[in-house]
Amino acid sequence: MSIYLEISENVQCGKAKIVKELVQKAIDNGLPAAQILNEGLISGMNVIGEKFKNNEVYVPEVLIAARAMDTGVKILKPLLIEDGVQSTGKVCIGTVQGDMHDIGKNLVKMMMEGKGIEVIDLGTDVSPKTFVDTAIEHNCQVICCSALLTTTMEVMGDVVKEAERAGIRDKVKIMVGGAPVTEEFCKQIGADKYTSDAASAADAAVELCR
Amino acid sequence: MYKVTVNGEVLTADDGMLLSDLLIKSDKNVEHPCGGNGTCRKCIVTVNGKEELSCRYIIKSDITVLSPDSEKIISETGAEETGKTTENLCYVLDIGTTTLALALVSLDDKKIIKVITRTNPQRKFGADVMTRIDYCRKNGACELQKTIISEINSMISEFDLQKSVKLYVSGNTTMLHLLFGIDCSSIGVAPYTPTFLESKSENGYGLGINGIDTAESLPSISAFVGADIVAGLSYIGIPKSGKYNLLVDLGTNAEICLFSEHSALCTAAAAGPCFEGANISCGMSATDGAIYSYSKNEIRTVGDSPARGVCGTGLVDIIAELVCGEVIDETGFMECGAFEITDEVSINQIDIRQYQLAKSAVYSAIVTLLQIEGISFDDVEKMYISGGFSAKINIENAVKTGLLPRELAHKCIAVNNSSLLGTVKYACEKNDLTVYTGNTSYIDLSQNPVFSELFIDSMMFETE
Ligand code: B12
Repeated sequence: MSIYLEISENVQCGKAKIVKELVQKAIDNGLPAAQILNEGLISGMNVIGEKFKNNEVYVPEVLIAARAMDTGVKILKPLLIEDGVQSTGKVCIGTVQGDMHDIGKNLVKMMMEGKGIEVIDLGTDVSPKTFVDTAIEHNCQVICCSALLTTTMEVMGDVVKEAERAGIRDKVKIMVGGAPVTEEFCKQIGADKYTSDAASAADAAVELCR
Repeated sequence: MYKVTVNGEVLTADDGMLLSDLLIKSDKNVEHPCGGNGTCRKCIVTVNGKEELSCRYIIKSDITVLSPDSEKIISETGAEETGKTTENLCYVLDIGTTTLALALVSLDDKKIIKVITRTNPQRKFGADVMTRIDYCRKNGACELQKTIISEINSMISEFDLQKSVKLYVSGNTTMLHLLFGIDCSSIGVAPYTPTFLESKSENGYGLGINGIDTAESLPSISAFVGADIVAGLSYIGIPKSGKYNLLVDLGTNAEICLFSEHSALCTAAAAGPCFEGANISCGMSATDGAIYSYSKNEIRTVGDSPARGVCGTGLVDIIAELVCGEVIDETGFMECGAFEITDEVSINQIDIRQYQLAKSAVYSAIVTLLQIEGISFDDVEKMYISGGFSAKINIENAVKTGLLPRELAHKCIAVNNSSLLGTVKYACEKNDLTVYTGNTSYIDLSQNPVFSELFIDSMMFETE
């Protein structure tokens, strides 16, 4: 088995310790950091993402896989910077103001990271202004908003308005999601993209970052 | 103006009106569990022979609508009724998000004479409190208040008392706001601040409730732990042994309290509507034809009717069976994709996922409270289960699915409508409720690292 495949499989079953060892071994053997990332870590997360989309695996499995991937990414990070490897894109994500649910948002974040996107996590209870200010300051291509409450989903509409007010609406795409959110709602508030699950969200973000 | 014929009755609608709005306005009890969000697909009606979501159907012509009549939700209050009227009487009302229970109580005997239950007519605005809060935020409290008061009047008239008596009311914090016509929008967003928590008394005439002199509500603890739970605590009482009692209200909001002589903690686990069937593909409330009990050899339905769907207790049984039969593995994965119970009714992978969220929320919240208090399962004297389906839930199966801790199974007591019974106790004894409201701390689980970790781990199933 190639070491990339071995890394990928150990990411999939969440074996953080083994992933760490394997990544170190790959580096020590002089393999290129970008390839370890893409063909090992990210490829493993992609498999999990597909399975999650099909409901074959659920939240706990995704979280342990993401944790395993993370241990690998941590070791690779300095090398990737050294090699000048570019991320696929840059987004900011948060749960909207008035809402503290963060599990769905975290999954979206992990899946996006699993696609090589740089994600700025704003946490929960995030005001429209914070979303927009962050996007401006860090040059994000996409703002991702999560809401789990019927009573807070409308804040997403305010994020769209705030982006318009700040004059960045033509430069920044806005993605929305969370259990009560629908395609129809996304259109209604003038956001750009809705997906029902985290893996599709990551695919969509890659598209939007192009 | 268009002619809309609903189950034979002719109504008129403006051009562009939402069908659900018309059905709500004309008291056709089509339910809208998700509050018209278009996500739950439970408001399906037949329009000119085609199935449509009533909350998404815009009226643009004359139409004929067939809507399934919503039925009474079977609710067992667990109350003993004497049927014996005495001199001094009062009413006791429990306003549940799903069901209403009104008891006529003898203050002389300190006993319930008779109880009537109804479905909360506010359900047409949405199944859970958040959808009602959202409706209130958009349309004001007035319509929601009118809906509940007219139902209360109808219930009171059934007793046919010739005099005015006092009414004691309990219910969750949102339901009490809406009874008094008070705006509850602020409960809907963080930091979830209710307008009032204290006990409230109002003149019956002023409220528009007939046959009562005053209405007194019990006090609440927080936005999501209401007077219904305070009443429940008062019904159960504090254990004298120095040990702890747990009260677990198994509903959409899943309130949990841990209390002893010295301290009290409470929280709301937000399990979701799966115990009421709202986010389960073949889910339904405990009405005619709902599978409420299931084993390999026997399926029992409400009214012994042909199975139409699954209600909460049936779901617990089915999932226990699937776990034990290894149809689903410990991660909840179901290789066969869906499990057919009858030709009409099946459980699919997404249903299992919903159940995993709900059961883990309840289990993790219980364990988190114990950990915060720094006690073990042994320190718990009794675990009381209340809520709509507590009477029929199979505890052994609940444990098998990981909804309740195995260590507490043998300490479990179902108390049905402890909110109603606790309020009756208060009406008769005027016991001091500040023992329950005074030093009870509300634990916010969204900030809690113990809960966060447990919640993920406990989504798994235990297999042999
Ligand atoms: C876990 C949970 C909690 C936990 C939260 C823990 C945490 N750190 O997040 C706790 C117990 C703290 C909690 C509290 C509350 N909760 Co809560 N909670 C839930 C529960 C059980 C599961 C939510 C969840 O994590 N789902 C799993 C994740 C993975 O799914 P997801 O978030 O939908 O995300 C997926 C997709 O939507 C998508 N996605 C998500 N975000 C984004 C963003 C983008 C851009 C995209 C593209 C996609 C996307 O990808 C994800 C993965 O595929 C639900 C009920 C249920 N069964 O769904 C209630 C629920 C959401 N809660 C609810 C409520 C009311 C509350 C409270 C306000 C009240 C209470 N009862 O205490 C509080 C307050 C919380 C707060 N402070 O904001 C209600 C909302 C009802 C409504 N109609 O609005 C629900 C539905 C339960 C109910 N009562 O019916 N809750």
